[in-house]
Amino acid sequence: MKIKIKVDPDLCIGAAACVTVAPETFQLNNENKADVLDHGQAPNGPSYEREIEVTDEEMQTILLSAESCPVLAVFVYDENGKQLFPR
Amino acid sequence: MTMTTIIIGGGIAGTACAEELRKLDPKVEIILISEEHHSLYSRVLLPHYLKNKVSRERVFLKNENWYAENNIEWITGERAEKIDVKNSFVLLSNGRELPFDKLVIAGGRTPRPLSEDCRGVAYLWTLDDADHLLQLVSEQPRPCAAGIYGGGLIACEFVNIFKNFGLDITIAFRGKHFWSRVLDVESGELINQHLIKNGIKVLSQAQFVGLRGENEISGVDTDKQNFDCKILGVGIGLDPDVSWLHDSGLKIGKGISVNEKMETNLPNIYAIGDVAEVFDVYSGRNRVMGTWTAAQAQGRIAAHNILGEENKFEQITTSSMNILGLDVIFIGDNDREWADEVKIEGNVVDGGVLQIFYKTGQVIGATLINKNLEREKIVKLMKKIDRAKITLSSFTPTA
Repeated sequence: MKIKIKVDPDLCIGAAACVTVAPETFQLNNENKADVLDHGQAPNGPSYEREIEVTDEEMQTILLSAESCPVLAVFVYDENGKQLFPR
Repeated sequence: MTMTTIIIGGGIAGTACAEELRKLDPKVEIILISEEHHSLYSRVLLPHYLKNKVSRERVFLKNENWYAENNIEWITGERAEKIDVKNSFVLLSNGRELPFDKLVIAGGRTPRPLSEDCRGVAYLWTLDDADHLLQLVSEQPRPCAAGIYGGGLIACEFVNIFKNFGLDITIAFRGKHFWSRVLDVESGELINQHLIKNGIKVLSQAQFVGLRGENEISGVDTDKQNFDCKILGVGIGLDPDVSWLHDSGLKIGKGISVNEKMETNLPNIYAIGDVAEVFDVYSGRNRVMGTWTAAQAQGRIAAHNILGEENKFEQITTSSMNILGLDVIFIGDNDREWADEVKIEGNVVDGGVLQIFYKTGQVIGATLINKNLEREKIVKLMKKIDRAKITLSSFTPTA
């Protein structure tokens, strides 16, 4: 399935919860904010927002990483634009 | 027969444990005891709420219905006062005795109070503290002098919040600089200079003597210098909530000692989150992790282990803050006495300082001031640790 992941850099404090849970999807940048990755890669350069194709298992990990963020800076949407997290 | 698990503490560790238990087992009886009346909220979001980046409503991570919807008995406004290990029950502050099969202690830590108190003195740990601070700040006309006493994470949050409100800030702390027991002189001086550059008056090596003011604070006396303030933010450390456990038989150090499985030295009793001193496989000793991410993971791990699994806590902890644009990151174990060697790279002139902590020649932790790009390198080095070489101080729980 295709999902959109977005990090709000204004909320992100670099706590690295998302990186700990889903290192293939998030990486901290020079600003100490989380960039979104596509399976460990950053096609077209670093970005706070990305649409990626994921398996069910990957989806669960990404949702868990969003739930783990103490400042709720990670937003996850389905392919129709419906916000899956924060609920 | 249905198993009863009592969880003492309704913060992130305790709630994560309850949530995971319910996911794993629809039948287990779960009782969650919370001293606060609020449903789960994020302490980490409180500074964002105070700076008006998020609404008060956004701070809550669970609504009040969540507990009943998940068949979790949620007892609020009560404290656990005693554990009877022999007869397996917990005594609550209202006199109720609750029997348990498994007990999880997740009582967290509480801010160390100043020796004096009066109106205008603020702490920053709970949502009620945040509401109180907002009230104090909104009452004061500008210009307004604000004081901060302390040199750690919470003092750092007060700096950001008071600056955001346009207050004139004086900060006083006992050490030569912020985190004086962890940071080297160059790191500390870099932070001091950054604060001064941002118009903050810094009083280092200043011991608190007393508050001035009759009904409301008008200033603070220290053994170095006195200063005026209408609001004082206090951040002088946190203590684990363990005073009620001293005759329980639990092994207690800087928190309740647990192994990687979150087991205490007593059977069927677990401790998680800020109240626990957990064995850190990356540094070879028990320590209080003190991060949101660790507390949440420990809650989930305890839930699995309560149900007979053998999950272990293995996390490279990081805590990260930003003081008026200056990034400060702590990774792993930063205890100078535990480390064999501490290497320092960079200095004040360079504008960034990295401290790396070594044990048996291996990296066990680091502090990064304005050195964000070094983070990944340090974490990679820590992942390579040869655990057999790190001196082990873990203990085996006794049956």
